[in-house]
Amino acid sequence: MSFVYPFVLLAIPAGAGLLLMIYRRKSIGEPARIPTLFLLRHFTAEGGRPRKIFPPIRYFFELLILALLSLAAAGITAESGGKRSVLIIDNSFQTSAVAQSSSRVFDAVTERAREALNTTLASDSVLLIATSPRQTTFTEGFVSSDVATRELSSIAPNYAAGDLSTTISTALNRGDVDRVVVASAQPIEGDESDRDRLILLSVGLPVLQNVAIEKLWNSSGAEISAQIRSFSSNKTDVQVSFSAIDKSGEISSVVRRQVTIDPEKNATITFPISTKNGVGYRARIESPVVGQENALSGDDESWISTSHPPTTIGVVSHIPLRDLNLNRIFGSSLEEISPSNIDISQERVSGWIFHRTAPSKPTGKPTLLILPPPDSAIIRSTPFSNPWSVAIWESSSPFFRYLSPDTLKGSAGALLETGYTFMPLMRGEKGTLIAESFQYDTHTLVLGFEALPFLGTKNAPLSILLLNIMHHLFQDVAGVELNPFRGVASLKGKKARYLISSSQLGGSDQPNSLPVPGLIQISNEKPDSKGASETISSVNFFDEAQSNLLARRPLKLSPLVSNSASQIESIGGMSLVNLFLNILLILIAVDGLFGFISLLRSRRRVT
Amino acid sequence: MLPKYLNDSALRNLGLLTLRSRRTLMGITQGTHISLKRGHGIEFSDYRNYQPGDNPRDIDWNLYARSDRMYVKTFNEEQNLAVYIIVDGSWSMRLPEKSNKWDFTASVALGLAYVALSQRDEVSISVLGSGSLFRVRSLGSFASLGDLFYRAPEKELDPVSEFRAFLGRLRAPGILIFLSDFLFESSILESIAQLARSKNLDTSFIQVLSNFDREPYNFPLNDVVDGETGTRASLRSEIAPQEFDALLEQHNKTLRDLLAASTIRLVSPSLLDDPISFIGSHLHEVGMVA
Repeated sequence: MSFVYPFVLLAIPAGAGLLLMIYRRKSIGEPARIPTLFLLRHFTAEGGRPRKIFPPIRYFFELLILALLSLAAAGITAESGGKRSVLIIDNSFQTSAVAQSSSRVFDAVTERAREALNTTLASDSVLLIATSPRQTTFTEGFVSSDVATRELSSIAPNYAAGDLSTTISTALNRGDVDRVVVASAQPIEGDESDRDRLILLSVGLPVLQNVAIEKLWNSSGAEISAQIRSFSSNKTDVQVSFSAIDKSGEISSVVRRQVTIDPEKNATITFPISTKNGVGYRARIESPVVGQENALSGDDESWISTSHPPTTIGVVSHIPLRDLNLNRIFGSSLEEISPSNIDISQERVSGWIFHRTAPSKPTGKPTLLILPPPDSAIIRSTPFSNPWSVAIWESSSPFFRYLSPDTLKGSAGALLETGYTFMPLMRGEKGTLIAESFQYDTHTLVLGFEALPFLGTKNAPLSILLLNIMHHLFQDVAGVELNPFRGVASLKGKKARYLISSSQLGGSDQPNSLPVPGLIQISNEKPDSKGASETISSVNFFDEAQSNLLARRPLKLSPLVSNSASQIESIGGMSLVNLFLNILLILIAVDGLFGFISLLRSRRRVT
Repeated sequence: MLPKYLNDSALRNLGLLTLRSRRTLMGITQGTHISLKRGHGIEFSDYRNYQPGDNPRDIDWNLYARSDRMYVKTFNEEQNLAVYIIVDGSWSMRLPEKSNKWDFTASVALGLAYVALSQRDEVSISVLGSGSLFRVRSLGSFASLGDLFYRAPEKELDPVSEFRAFLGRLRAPGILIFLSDFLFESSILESIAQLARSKNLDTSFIQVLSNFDREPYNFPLNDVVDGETGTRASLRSEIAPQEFDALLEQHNKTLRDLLAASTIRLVSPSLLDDPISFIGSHLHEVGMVA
């Protein structure tokens, strides 16, 4: 058993004295009023031996509470014996590099760690921490080396960078740690003051070389460019393949290009977009084969969704665009256009969204009308304020993909008048709520209810409906990137399946980029019976520092302790603190009972 | 406000009792006590020679027939008595707060006053420390006496000077009843006894001691403050019962000796549970009431 802040234990004797003083003062402060001292003056303490102090039982209870509080505050932790060691495993992206022996750097790292657990740390209490993508403890507090060895196998190299220096500093700054052992392929320099506490397990690998796809982008609308970077000390010949991906994720065509890259330089290769129906493209380094020049395969591949010419959708609403929160749903370029200043002939707008307003005539471009005015020139409607639900819908319409219309509900809306121009797509109990028209070369969709998330409430069915509308209404003129489906998930391998929950739709916490390379296939959490629900999103992970295996600069340890220090501490001493808290609760309850009894007795006492 | 002990039933019982004096004293007005005053009455006193002017009905004709001399019979007149009740009203009588010492004292004092008023004696009652003397002649004013006992003492009590002042205001000989715990220094007790002896009074002291006064060692005491003087003191953790009992007994013996020398009667109730019973039985046994 040891303490993070042993000086806090001084509170126990100090508190004991203070408590005793309080109890003594309490007893002195309220003397008993007696009739007369006439005969009792012969029995005063001054006249005899000093009066003994008998603190009540409650005093000892409160002393126990104080002691437990102090122990908890001092950061008491249990250990299995021996020294307390923190074993830090570097599992950053770099460690997935393959060395000459065809084994990964990470394998060498874990092997060195395993050796240390069997020898140096055999009798220690070990806290096992991995560094990537963030500090993560793999043991529940300090455990025996055997347990730590078992847990070692659950650590894998991560497709992300790690914060090794912060992790080491955090561990060194813990007061209850005897030594910090670091297993990494990176050279690390520690402070001189930490010489006795810091043990570095270097894997001692030779310098490895790597080639990576640094960047993949849509360069002109008709071409896609890939920037290849060499982290090699030699001139390197690189063959890059370029594949188109269809909606089902199948590779439809492959083009190969060869390029020679100077040492530690980059080169750009351009591919024409040949498949119009392709929704994504993959660039992959085919050569050199895994070997001296390319020890890290994780950055040899990059994906991008079909890129289209810059697309702008004009949003006409009386509500400011930022308040509509449309950017929470999809990532196309949106332009705010005032209802009083509409020019439907402008070229830069590829599609229109009219929110609670309507154009005076067909726009000639895909148009979404949301709750148009009742006397609109496009479609007439009758507002109502009763709750509505879906009664009939066009099940073959792509607007209802991934969506169970039963879940579509609202509290008010407008019944749309359909006829020759508009055909009903979805009807409520009283009338049409969604109507569609292809008249006058304009694909127009009209919603008789509020569908934008501008009120800030998350409504998954409405979000899916809106996404479907955006995807299918505007896909003829613009490629809509399905940004909303991006999110941090447990992605394993190159072909990751990301399950999105309905609660995440419409959320504002979508990350700008994913931390892993590879193809991301997305499906709804509960795919309906209407078929596959997969689509492709663009991913282009590249981390120069992690891809550059030539860089063997020593990692300087920062003297600062990051916020994550508290994370390690809390995990390290959690079980005992919890135990203390439970005991404390019981003791405080007993103390309260004592207080109550004392109160009753003081009322009853006849002095 | 009367103490809880003096309910209607208790007062009815007290009304059947009479207060008795050990001595024949001169009364004030006509009453039920045989007084020193010669005059009309039923208690024969003496014969004397007839003198011109005497009422011929007072001549004992039977004695004249036997002796041929004229004698006149004299009688002791029945008069009421002045009853003086004085109560030590210091804090020592009122503490501890939960004790019934003061209620008991007040009940005994008021009960005796009720007995006296029932037999048409004149009652003067004073609570030392309050500085006032109430003189009551009829039962109609009895209830108002209760208020006298529920005023906090105004100052620290000097029993000797207060007692002297009280005696100075007495108009006639009578019965004096002093209720106190008499936990005073022996010099004070001596002064009080001397003062009481200096007056032509039938004096009785009732010593009221609470359980605390008798056995303070049975109570949890550490730091104490004298209820009268405000003096604070820390007591020893343990008070030896034998030692304290000996001290109290010594003090009481001093008191008894002093009072005996002054022909003052001392009564001390052992339990403070029923003041009416104390009056009816204990005081009856010692001859204070009949």
